[in-house]
Amino acid sequence: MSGRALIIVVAGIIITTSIIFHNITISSNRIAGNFNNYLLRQSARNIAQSGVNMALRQLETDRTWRTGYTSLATMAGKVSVRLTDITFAGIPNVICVQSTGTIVDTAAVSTAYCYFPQPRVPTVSKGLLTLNGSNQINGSITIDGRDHPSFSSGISPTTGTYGVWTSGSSFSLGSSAGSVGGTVLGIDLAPGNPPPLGTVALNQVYPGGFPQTPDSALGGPTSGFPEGTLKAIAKTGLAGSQYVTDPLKLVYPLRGITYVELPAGGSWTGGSLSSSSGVAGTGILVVHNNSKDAVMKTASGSFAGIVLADDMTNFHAQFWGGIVALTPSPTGNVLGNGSAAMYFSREAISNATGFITTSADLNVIGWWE
Amino acid sequence: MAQLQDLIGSIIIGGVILLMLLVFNGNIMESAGIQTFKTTVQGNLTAVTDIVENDFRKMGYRVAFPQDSAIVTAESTKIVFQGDIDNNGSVDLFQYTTDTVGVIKTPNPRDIAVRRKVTGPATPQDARMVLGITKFKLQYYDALDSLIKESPVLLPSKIRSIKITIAIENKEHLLDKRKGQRMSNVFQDTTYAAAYWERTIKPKNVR
Repeated sequence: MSGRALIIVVAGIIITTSIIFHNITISSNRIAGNFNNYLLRQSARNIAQSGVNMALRQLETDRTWRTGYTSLATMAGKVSVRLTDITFAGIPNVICVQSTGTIVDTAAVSTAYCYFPQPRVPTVSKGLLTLNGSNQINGSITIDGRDHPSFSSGISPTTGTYGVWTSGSSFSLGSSAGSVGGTVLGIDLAPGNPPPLGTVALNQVYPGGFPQTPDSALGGPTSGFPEGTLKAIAKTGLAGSQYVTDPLKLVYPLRGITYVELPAGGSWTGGSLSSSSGVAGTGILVVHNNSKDAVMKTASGSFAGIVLADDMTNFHAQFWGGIVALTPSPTGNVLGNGSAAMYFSREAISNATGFITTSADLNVIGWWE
Repeated sequence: MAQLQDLIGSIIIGGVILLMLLVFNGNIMESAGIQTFKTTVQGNLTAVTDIVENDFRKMGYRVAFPQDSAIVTAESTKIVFQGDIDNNGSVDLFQYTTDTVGVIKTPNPRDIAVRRKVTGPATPQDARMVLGITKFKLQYYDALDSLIKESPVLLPSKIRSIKITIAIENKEHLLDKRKGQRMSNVFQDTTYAAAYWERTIKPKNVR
C-alpha cells in the first residue's frame, strides 16, 4: 500500500469516527435533555404545589385573602397564584386556588378547590316529627317533643316543640304502649296516650308549601341550601360525609351528611343507623330520590341529628333531633312499630348542622394537577 | 536490501496502525449503537411515566365519597380506579394491567405490554403500551406508610399512596460483552439497553 493510499484510508477513518462521535454526542445530549426536561417538569410541579399550599395556609389565617402571588421566587423558580370564587360540583362559595410554577422554561399548574363552610342557620323542622300527611304508629313507640340533650333522656325545660306536626288530618296511636309528648306554650308535657293536648298538631299549613326536597327542608337558597347542596357536600366527604346509591356501601359510623339516593320506588330496608360495634350515627341523614319516593324502612340502631326522608315506615331506632318526611302519601302501615323512641333535641340538630355552620377549617374538596 | 526492509517495515507498521484504527472505529460504532438504544429506551420510559403519573395524580378527582369507590381493584400488576381525568364533570374508570398481546414478536423475551383502558362517557380508550416494558409493579401503602402486603387489596379505602416500578428495555438486543453495570441494566443482561423508574405517588384526591 502506498503512503498516499494509507493517508487516504486514515483520513477516511478519522472522518467516519468524527461523524460517529458527533452522533454519540447528539445522542448523549438527548439523554441529558430528556432527563433535564423530566427534572424540570417535576420541579415545576413541586413549585406549583408549594404555591397552592402557601395560599391555603394564608387562607387559614385570612379567609378573605384573594391577592395571590405574582412571580414569587420559590425553590429556584417562580410561582404565581390566583384565587377566584367559583361554584364547584354544585357547591357555591368554593375558592379556586390556581398555582403556576415556573422553572427555566418549564411550567406546571396545580389547582385546588377549597371550601369554607358558610354560616347557615337552617330551618329544620316544625316539630320532632314533621310530616306531610296523615300517619300512625303502633307498638311501643315514644315520641317526645320535649327538648333533650343528645343521647339523653333528660329534659331541657321549656325549649321543646310539638311531638308531631303534620299537614295531614290524623295521627293515630294504634297501641296503648305508644305515646306522644311535647312542649306547648312553654310547658313541657310528658308523653301520654292519648297525647296531651297540643302536642300533636294536625291540618297544619307549611308557609310557602311543604318542602319537596331535602335542601328546601333545610330552608332552601335563602338559608344557604340551593338545590343539590346537600348531595354535593356529601360527595366531597366533608367531615365524614358520604354519598351512596347502595346503602350496603355505607361506611360506619355515620357522620356529616349521609346521603342515600335510591332508585325510583327503592327502599332502604333493615338498615342500621349505628355501626356494628354500636357507635351511634350523627349528622344529617338524607334518604331521597328524584321521584321523591325513597323509603327508609325498619331502620334500627341509634342516631342523633336530622333525618330527611321521602318516606319512612316501621322506624325501630333510638333517635334524638328532628325528622322530616316529605311524602304526602306514606307507604306501609305505620311510621313506627315494634319498639322505638324519638326525642326532640336542639343540641343534636345544632351538632348535625354545626360542621357546616361553624367550622373554621378550610376543606380542600378537589385537587387537579 | 535496505529498501526492501523499509518497505516491509512500513507495511507492518502501517498495517498495525490501520488495524488499530479499524478496531477503534468498531468500538466507536458499537458505542454509538448502544447510545442510540439508550436514548430510545430513556425516551420510552419518560413517555410511559408521563402518562402513568398524569392518570394516577388525578385518581379520585370528583369521585364521591366513600373513597372505596375511587380505587376499585388494587393488585400488584393491575389497578382499576376512578377519576375525572379530563375535568369535564364526569367520572371515568381507568384500568391499568399487564398482558402479552402485541409483544410476542419482539426479540426481547421479557417485554410485556401495559394496557391502559379508559371507560367513561366522554373518553373511551383502550391502548397497549408496547414500548419494551419489562417490569410493571404496583405496591400500596396505607396512611402510616406501611406496605399493604395482600394482593388484591381487600379494602382499597386503606390505600393512601402507590409505589410504581417500571423497567424498560429496548426490544432489539445488541451484541455487547461489557459488564452489566456499564449498561445500567438491572437484569444484568448486557445485550439489552435498559432504564429503571420508581416513584411513590400520593394522589391528593384519595385522602
